[in-house]
Amino acid sequence: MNCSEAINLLSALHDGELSSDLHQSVEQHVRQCESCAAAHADFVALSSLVIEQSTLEPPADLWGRIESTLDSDSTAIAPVAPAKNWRDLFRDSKRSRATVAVVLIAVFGFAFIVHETMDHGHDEHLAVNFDQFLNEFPKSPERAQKLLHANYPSDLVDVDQATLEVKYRPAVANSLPEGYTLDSVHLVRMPCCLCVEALCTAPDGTRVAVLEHAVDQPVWFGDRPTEECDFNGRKARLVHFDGQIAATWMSDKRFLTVIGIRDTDEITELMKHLDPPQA
Amino acid sequence: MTESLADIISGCQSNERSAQQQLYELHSRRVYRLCVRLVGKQDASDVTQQTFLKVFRTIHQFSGGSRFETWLHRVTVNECLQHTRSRIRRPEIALNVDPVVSSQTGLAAESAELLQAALDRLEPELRTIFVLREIEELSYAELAETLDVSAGTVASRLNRARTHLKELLTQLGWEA
Repeated sequence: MNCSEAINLLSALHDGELSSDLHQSVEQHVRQCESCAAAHADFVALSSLVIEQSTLEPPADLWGRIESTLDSDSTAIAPVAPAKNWRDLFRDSKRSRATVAVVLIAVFGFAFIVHETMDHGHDEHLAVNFDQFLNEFPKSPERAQKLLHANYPSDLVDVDQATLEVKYRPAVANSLPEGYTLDSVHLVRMPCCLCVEALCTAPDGTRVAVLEHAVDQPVWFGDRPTEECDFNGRKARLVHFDGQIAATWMSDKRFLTVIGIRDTDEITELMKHLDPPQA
Repeated sequence: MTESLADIISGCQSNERSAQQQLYELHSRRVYRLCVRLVGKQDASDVTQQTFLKVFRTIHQFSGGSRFETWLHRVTVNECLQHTRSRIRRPEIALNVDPVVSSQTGLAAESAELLQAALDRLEPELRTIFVLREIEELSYAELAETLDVSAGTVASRLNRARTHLKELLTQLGWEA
């Protein structure tokens, strides 16, 4: 074993995570190699520096704060409630300030279609993929996008190319709220149809994704509780996940979905630009 | 009578408040301690709060396929990383964190503060894996599952974390 091989295994050696044969080989190299021995000794010294802070206690009022928010959740988020004034639904401004994202109807529509047509086992598989996408987006919109593209063929295009392909002007081509930028547009070939998926950046640097597709199907939010809200006469279904909000609504003959929105003001603003009222 | 963890989780999945409180009481110290290490004491209680809210809102997704503690670690780490990224996006908020309050005195306290100062300067992903390994004592398999990376990535990332941490400590005056 040489240094370049051994150096990558020093942590695993230190943590006792090597097989016995490999452990023996690396250990033998470390005994004979001054630089690897020094690096290994550093790792040992670092571990000895770690002192357990067992006295750390959460603040005494923390459970009370959590309970209070849970209480407001239960009154603010009614599952599929009749449309009502959406402003009343989001009094918890701290929660609603979470990362903004706009997620695309195509994912939901597609999931729904397959949900209706596939066997249960496949259904579970889709649910997992869907969860992965929703779980990934708040952490890394780019990784979530890659996940989507890994599952379905996609092409990076500009708005004009997208318009030619899907035969309608994508919503992101209308306009975006002030300060938002359009970062990328992809055409994603899903089993239901050719979908337009766009990634944008909000003024605060958070990422926003927009999906649009032309299939007239209700959307599916998996097992997550949903609510229906009225935005100036337009009905949208909302779902909360990971501190974010996803919203979907019908626009003309298509669906638009917005995921990870900070608050309902942002939904209104995005709706105004992506899907302006018809004259 | 003490309920089993499975019963408590089941109660949480039914939105039972007593089960949620039991779960909080069982795991809040561990979550809080991890948050202190990853985001600093000044923000740890807020992130702990967000973590438990997320746990209660998404616990219906916990299928039992992994250990609950692993799932909880994953949620906690994600909340901490999300919080750290949001602070990076808001440069007006200082990234330096308060020193961890230590019960040790003298050299031990100095070492603890030095370590925390170096950890604060470490990239979030490297800080996370180091803390999970050295303080939470997760195995490589648990680290891989918690961080959703391969075992090979765990080993190489830990190597980088330790090497970089040692460099940072040396810059701060630490002598091994």
